[in-house]
Amino acid sequence: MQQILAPLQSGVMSVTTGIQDDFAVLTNLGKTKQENNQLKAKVAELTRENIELQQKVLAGLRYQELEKKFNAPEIWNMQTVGATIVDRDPSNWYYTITINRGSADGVVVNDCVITNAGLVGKVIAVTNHTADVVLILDSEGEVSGMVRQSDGSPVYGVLQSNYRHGPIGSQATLEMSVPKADNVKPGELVLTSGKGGVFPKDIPIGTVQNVVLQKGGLLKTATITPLVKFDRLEEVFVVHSGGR
Amino acid sequence: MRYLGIAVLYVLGLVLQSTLFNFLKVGGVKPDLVLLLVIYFAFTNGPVKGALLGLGLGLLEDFFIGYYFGMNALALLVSGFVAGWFETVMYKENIFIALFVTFLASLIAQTVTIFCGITAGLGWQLPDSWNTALKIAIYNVCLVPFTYPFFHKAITKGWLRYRPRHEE
Repeated sequence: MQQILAPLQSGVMSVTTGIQDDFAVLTNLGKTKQENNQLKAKVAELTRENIELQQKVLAGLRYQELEKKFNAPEIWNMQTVGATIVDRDPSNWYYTITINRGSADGVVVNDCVITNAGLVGKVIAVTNHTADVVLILDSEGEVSGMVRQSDGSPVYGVLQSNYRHGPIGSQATLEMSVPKADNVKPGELVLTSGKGGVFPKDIPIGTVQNVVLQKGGLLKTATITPLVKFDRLEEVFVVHSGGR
Repeated sequence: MRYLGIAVLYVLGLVLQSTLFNFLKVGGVKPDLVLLLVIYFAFTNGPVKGALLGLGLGLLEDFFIGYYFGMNALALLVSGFVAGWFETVMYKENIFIALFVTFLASLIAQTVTIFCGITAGLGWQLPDSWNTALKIAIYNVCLVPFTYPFFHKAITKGWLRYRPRHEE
């Protein structure tokens, strides 16, 4: 009996379900219209985002093309050679190290020296098998730096050692003067700007520790804590300038 | 023998400053062991010998460092002369006087260095440099109780004692 009625039941069920759905559409018409409007707005928003992303991708591609043409000094394009620190300056007034790589290894004066953490300094003298490196903490180790603001625009400045030490175990910090109007904030990353022809672009240097207004009122001084722990440094990489 | 001993102490001081004391920095500074050697020698041998030793060891240190030649030579010459002057007017056996002379001569040596550095166009800021100089002088003074008695004993009775040629 059940087997005989089964097709009929199925047919009725499908018809009633259809009618129920139609009634549901009719009763929820207002709600459906609202959802439709929301979805349309969402589509518009996603379309706008999609266009923006496409523009950014295109800008990135254009940048890469320009970089190839202008040979932008990016660290990632360059050859490096590992070196061990064999000596440090005996005095308290200079921040230099001696490494066990020299002209025999292709090291030349003004080669940039880095670690995985960030910028260390530059080569100032070379022998066959050693090289002297002036650290960015030295007064002669000035670097052209850049802070990338939240809107993407860069703030440029020259980083100089201030020879200011904190308590036991701490190391000297760097200072950078920036215009008062620029919105440099504590915690922001400072990178090399690539300007000056010695240091390649975008090597991390340190983070902004604090920003104070100078006495004149036109500039602010940003104190920067280097990322590299110079007192604990054992190995470094020398970036070959021949790769630039 | 005496000057060989000074040479050994000098090399030892320079090596320790370049290596071990980088890990024993206090407030970002390490002691100046070569300066201590010059001060001790001057305080026990007078201003002329002290100044000459300071000049000689300073020149060697300038060669070792390799730039701003003459800066250490001048600083050690002046501090050697000042520490040596105290030899003529004060008791060199007294550890407290040795502490005072070490502090003063260290401060003078660092002052000369700062003056030379700023004159040479190095970007040293005066207040921070003074702070560093003061810390170096204090660190040097802290080492005096552990080093000066041995040096004084060696230079008056021991292996650093001056021996006329007929005694050798």
